[in-house]
Amino acid sequence: MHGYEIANSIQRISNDVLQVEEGSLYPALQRMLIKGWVTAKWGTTAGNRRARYYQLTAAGRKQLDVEMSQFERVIGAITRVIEAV
Amino acid sequence: MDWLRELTRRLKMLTLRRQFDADLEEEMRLHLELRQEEQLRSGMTANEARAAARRRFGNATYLKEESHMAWGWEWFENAEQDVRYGLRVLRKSPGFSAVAILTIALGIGATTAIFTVVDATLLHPLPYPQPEQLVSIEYDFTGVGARDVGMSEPEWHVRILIVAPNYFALLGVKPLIALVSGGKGNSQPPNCDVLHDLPRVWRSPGSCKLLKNLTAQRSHGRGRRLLLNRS
Repeated sequence: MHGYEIANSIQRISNDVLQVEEGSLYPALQRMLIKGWVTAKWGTTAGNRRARYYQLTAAGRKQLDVEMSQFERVIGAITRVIEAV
Repeated sequence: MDWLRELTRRLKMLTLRRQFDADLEEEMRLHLELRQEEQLRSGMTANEARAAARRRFGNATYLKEESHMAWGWEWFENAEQDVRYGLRVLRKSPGFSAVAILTIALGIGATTAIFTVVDATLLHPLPYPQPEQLVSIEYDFTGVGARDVGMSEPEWHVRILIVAPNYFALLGVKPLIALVSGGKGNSQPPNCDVLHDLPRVWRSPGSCKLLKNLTAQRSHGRGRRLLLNRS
């Protein structure tokens, strides 16, 4: 996916709940490129325009698992605290 | 080895950073244009669509800078800029630059020279036992107006030192090669074989001749030693 598609899919999948400042996607992508979590390749869009496509790497997938389990731990903890009230 | 790959990626960005900035610019422009087209389709005017796309995107200039800086070369680029600016200023006023460079060069040179002397004379003790007991005796010949005349033999520039026989015993050192010649009742000429162990400059026929001359001149009277120092 290229940047615009990523921004759109975040919005679509979250049912418009998550609306980030779209441009802030790009610094984040740079950080992931540095870490080797994604790779970037220039390609052409359906409308025949040049766009940079990002793809998750194996290392990126592994990092995603790490982040997910951490996130789930925090969410679980918050849920338990709220339910106890 | 992850850090190595990361460093490689960072270095690659550094070498291609003009391309990097152009690429980033292009992909952000595409993003804005696609968003703008989407807004147009939803019935906005061109101006409204552009403004909406920009609003959703955020501050593009700032984000471009942040993307660039994420690669961590800010310090390098700043230093590069400073150096360039410095060189430009230096080139603009060559007279001032020359004076400044000369001043610094002389300053460094003088400091180095002084330190070398201090290092050799004060910081490193003489390589003899009880160096603090060694004294230099000087004398004034008031009759001929000579002052501070050393009482020992001068050191020869070719590093041949002609000394009294007890010189080495006094200093407690052993010469690398010493030649005793012209002692009492012993005036045999020096053997040039001793020169063979020395660096090549000493092994020429000229050196041998010099050696013989020196010892011949000095061989009358007391016993003399000729020291050829390896250093």
